[in-house]
Amino acid sequence: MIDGLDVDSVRGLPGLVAANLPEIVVSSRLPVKHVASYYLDILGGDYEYFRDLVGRLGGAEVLEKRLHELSAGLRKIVLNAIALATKAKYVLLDEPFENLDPARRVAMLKEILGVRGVKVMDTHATWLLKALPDWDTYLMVEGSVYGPLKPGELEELKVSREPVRDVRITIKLKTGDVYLSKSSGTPLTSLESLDKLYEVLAWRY
Amino acid sequence: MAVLRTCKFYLRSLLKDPYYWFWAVFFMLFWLMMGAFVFGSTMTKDSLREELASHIPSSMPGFESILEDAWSKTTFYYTAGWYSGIALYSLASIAIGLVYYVYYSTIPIRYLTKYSRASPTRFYAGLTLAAVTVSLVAAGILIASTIVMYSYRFHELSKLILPKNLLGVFATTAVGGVFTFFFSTTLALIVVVLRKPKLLGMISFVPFLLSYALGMAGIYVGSGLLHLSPFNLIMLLTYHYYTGTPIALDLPAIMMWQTDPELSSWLGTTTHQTADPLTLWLTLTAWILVFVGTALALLRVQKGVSVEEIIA
Repeated sequence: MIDGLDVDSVRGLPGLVAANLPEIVVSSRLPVKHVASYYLDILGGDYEYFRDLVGRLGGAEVLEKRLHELSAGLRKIVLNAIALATKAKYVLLDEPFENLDPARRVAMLKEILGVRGVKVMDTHATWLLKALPDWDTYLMVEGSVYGPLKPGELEELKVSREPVRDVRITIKLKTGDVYLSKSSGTPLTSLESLDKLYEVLAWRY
Repeated sequence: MAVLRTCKFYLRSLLKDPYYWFWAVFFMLFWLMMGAFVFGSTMTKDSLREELASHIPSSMPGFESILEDAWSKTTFYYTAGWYSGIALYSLASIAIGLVYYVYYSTIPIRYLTKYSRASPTRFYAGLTLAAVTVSLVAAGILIASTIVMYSYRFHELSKLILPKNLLGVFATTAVGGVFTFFFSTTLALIVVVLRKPKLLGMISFVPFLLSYALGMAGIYVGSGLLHLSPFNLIMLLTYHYYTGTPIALDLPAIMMWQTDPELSSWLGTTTHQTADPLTLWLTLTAWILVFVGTALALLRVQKGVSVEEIIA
């Protein structure tokens, strides 16, 4: 359900949802500028904003190439830009910083923060915790969702296999429970990426 | 607006596709040239004179005048026959590309029809319009080339072999384009619903194979129900509007010149029961509706094709 609407029954409703998934973009021989222009026209988005954003983060020449000719990073920039330029109420961003170099990650984050609407972002990057203090954060582990937590709170948590008294979240894995608390364990912020959480658990425990 | 915008996007995509230009236009031009200069190389006025002389004494007054008329008609029907077949095969070539377009668009289409101004009806209307337009572009090039090539081959351009009803020829192409689109959509969706991407290559050639098999059968040996297949209907209607002669469903297409009253009176051929073109239009429309219905039903059950399945 989105805003009381059953997602399966939604038809012809621009401005509700936008996403940066590669699957939703038509495979075409046309350059990025034509694909984006079409998409943003019928999605009710802002093509000039898209063009400006891609130009700043990727270079103007990106617009003249086809999507499959771009590197993984530039492709991610284009897909993010289409999603953000749609100006939808809900913007879904799947790993928006993947394959981007550090400078572009920061620039992209600034753009994401600057866009209105409810942004739902999934990422493994822990460096974001400091940059998004007001966001609600959820942990997704093995198909289950835990939270919400504020990033500031998440920064203080440590992960442990042993039960602790001040447990904040208990994560149920197939291999056993994992406890997040402030008092004992490996600090989450010491992990460059939450992908490393499994490695830590396997190594230590 | 969404219809035209979608049409413009896909039209641009299709017109920039080199496979469209090669298979639907240049490959067809190659076959038209074969028809004019290779297969038609034995068609000469002298050979016709000999054939005519076996029916009418050559010493008869007016023989040369009859020969001229017969030569005009023979080359006219020959040209119309070749164009009708090529027009069908051009549509079939476009169909191959459309199968791929629809297949790879299933998830984008779901997304766009939900969250854009393009509702499913508008989206598919735009896509159909694009398919019809590229069909007409190809038809325009092919018909112009046919007129020039065959008029040069048989009359050295002193006389142009023009269609009797050009609007009817283009109307048949347009409706043929609609059929082609929905047939292609159905085939693509079958692959999606079966979740077998490896079948895509084979399935995409089904329109081409059916056009060749049914088209050739209809030209040389077929009659009756064979002529009511959608491919044969497109070919027969094109032939009818090119030549202006009635359609006889009990004859193979190569013999349909016999319905020309003037020719049949010269050569004493049997009269045939002719079919109202409206009947053929209604039958073709029925075929289109069958595939529209099938495509809609498959659209409801398909879940799209993921990137992983495409790569695999």
